[in-house]
Amino acid sequence: MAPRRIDPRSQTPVGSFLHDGQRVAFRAGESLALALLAAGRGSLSRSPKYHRPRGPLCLRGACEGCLVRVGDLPGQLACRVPAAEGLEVRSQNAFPNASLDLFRVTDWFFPKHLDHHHLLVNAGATLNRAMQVFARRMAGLGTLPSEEHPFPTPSTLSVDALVVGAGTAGMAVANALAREGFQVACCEEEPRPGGEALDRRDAPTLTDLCDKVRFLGSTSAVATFDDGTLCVGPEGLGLVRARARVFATGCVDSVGLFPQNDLPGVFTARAAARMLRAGVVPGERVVVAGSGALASEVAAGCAEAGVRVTHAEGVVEAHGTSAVKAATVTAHGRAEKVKCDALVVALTATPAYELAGQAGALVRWDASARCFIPEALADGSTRAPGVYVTGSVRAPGAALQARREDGSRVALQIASDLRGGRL
Amino acid sequence: MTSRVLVCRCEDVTLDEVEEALAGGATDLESLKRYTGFGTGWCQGKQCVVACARLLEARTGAAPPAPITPRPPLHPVPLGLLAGLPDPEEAP
Repeated sequence: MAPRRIDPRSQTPVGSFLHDGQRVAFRAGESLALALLAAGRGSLSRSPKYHRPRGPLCLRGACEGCLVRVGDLPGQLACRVPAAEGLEVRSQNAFPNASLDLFRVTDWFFPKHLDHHHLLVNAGATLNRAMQVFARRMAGLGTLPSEEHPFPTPSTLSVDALVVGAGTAGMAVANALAREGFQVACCEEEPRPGGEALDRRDAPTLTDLCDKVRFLGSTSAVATFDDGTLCVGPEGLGLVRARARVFATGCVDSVGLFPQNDLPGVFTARAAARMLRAGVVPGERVVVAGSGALASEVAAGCAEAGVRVTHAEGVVEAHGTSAVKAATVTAHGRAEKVKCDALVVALTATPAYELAGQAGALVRWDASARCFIPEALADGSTRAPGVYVTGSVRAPGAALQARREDGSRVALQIASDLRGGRL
Repeated sequence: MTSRVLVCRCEDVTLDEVEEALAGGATDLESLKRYTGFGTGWCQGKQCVVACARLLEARTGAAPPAPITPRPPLHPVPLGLLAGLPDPEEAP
């Protein structure tokens, strides 16, 4: 079994696209990944070396599980591409397709691991050369487009402040600065603002993003430099020049290290919450491992949808060949093997520090949270002039109200720096 | 299916490989990356860098002070899009 829509009649499909030749219907506002999961298509590609099956894991652009070929462009994150009528989506790195891949034999060939440093080094030049050719053919993901694409001219935008991330803290900064009369752009990978709060039913009513803020939805900031931030969205590439750059990039989730942690059907709690909010259950028999608001949210959502849920403390091992079939989990101090077709893991998320680091903020190990955090003063300023951080990227696990207050506090400092001519 | 613990999914780097590299003397984050290739794939280390830092901390008692350099682009971007940018060398 696989993910499915809780009530297929509740929302009318607005269109369909092709996945490996099969028609997949989608609802309004869905990403390719969500529509594919809802259609029970949880295996989308194969891993580069061992050709192990891969499927969506995080649904927030922080893994490689949902990479697909869209049209003739390889390596597109299906969780970041809005579903659209007539798109042609294909699985990658698999022959003949992601559900059945003959190159999977590499996984059995190299039961320990495929050590590229010592692979056949002592086996003689001819065999080494043959192995190199073989390895090169097997490795990688996707193939290049068949046709030459024109180089579109990037659009440019100049603002006083660019806020990356429209979560709670990001919206608070953007709104405050816009109300002060500054030109503000806010780019967000999801089509809508809201961030983590969108995944939670108990979240208080969201403050809407002020209409004076230029909202760039479904847009990823992919690189940032002193003279501009590169943003990729539905219109292509945009170069945003800003006197102040604010990184409200939040946190990323992982599922932790346990055997078979890469099987399709293993999801982060946030991904499962996101699916449930869109009316999709992660499976028919769901194991939720871990605690916290998102774990409770997922367990409750699954139970409401009539899905059997087991709530466990931790994961020992996942079982299955092409997808999760069972999980050994701990509950009340005992290990137990539970049949399931979805394993949802809730771990403490860690900061998405990358862009702040690229912008020049000092990123340091935090000994108590055991993760990397961009260093900033209470007012959000970092060691790099004009670069600020706010929200859970600098305070992982902070409550919603605290993140909102942090955003407002940081906005005051930015407004003062912009007015004082320091930027 | 061979039972593997994947540390870096993008590059298929297993826990076994990381432990072998640690035992072999790759006891800082950069050497560990260069030996195993973790963090060099599609996602540029969004999950595995912290995982490897924690493994290093458990093994050596000291966490790496800083992550590997977070390089652009953060997500896969078609080369054609970047090729449309003005050449900074030619800019007036």
